[in-house]
Amino acid sequence: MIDPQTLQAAVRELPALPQALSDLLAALQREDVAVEQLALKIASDQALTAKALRLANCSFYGVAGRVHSIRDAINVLGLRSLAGALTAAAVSGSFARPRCAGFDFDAYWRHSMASALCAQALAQSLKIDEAAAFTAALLHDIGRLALASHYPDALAQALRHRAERDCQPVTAERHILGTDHAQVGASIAEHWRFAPAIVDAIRRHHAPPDDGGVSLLDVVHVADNIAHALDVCGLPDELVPPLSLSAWTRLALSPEQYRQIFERTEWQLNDLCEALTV
Amino acid sequence: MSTTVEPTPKAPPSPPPNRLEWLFRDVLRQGLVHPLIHLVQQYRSGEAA
Repeated sequence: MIDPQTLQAAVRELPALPQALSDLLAALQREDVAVEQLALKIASDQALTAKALRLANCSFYGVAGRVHSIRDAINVLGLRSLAGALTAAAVSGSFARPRCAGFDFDAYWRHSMASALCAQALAQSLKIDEAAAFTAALLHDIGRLALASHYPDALAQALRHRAERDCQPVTAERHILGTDHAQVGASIAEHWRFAPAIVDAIRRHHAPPDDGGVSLLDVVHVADNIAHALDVCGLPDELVPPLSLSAWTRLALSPEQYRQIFERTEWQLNDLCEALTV
Repeated sequence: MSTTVEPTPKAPPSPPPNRLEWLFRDVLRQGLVHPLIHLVQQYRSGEAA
C-alpha cells in the first residue's frame, strides 16, 4: 500500500510545468489575452519552443512546414491548439523513462497519444472544446507514469497481480497500492493547475456519472476505450475496459462518425508520436 | 481503501485466434454490453475488403 500522505508529498515535489505553459494555460481562462507578450514568454523557453514547433509542423495539424515561430503557431493553430502542443511537449519531458518491471513506456505514450487524437476528433464531432479534450486525454493516464517513476516496485507488484489474474489494471492498483492511477493523475493535474474539467476527466475517466449532460469526462472515457479497442499498442495482454453506456449514449454519434474517428486516429498516430519522439 | 471486489486468482487465459474477442475478453466474461466490439469489427472488415 502507498501511504496517501507520502504520495501527496511526492506530487508536490514534481517539477512545475514550464512557466511559459502555465502562463498560456492561465491566459486561456481570461478574455484579455496579451498575445504578443505571451508569444515572447513562450519563445524564451527554447527547448519547449523547439519541441512545440516540431509538433505544430507535423501533418496532424495540417500545416506542415508553415510554422516557424511561436507567433506563427498562434496565428495558424490558435492559442488553444498551441496549448495542447506545448502541454504534450512539456509533459513528455517531465518524466524520465521509468525503470519499472512490466511497465512499457513506449506503449504508455502511444496509448496516451491515440486517446488524445481520438478525444479531439470526438470533441470536433460534438462541437465541444477540442484542445481541452486533446489535453485531458493526453494526460488521462499520467498517474500511471508517475507511479512507475516514483513507486516502481509497488507498481511492478500491481502489474504482476494484474497479469496473474487477467483483471483490469485499475482493479489491481487499488488492491495492491490502495489507490489507482486516475486518483494519482488528478492530484498531479491539480498540482499543475489544469482547469477543473480536465482534473475531473482524469479523476473519473474509468467511472463517468450515469446522469448529466455530455462532458469532457465522457469524451475522455470513450476515447480511452476506443484507443484500447483499436489495439494501437499491440500488447499481448491488451484489455479493453468496461464502457459506460450512459457516457456512450450521451455522445450520440453515428456508426459512420465512429468509423471516420477510428480512421483519423490511426492515420495521425504515427505522425504525432514521431513528432514528440518520446 | 477501495471496495472493489478482487477477482479470484487464476492462470491467465491463452489468446484465442480472434484478436478482437481477446481484447474484449474481460467485458465478455462479465457479460457487459460494449458497442465498440461491433463497430471495430465492422471497421476492420471494411479495411480488409
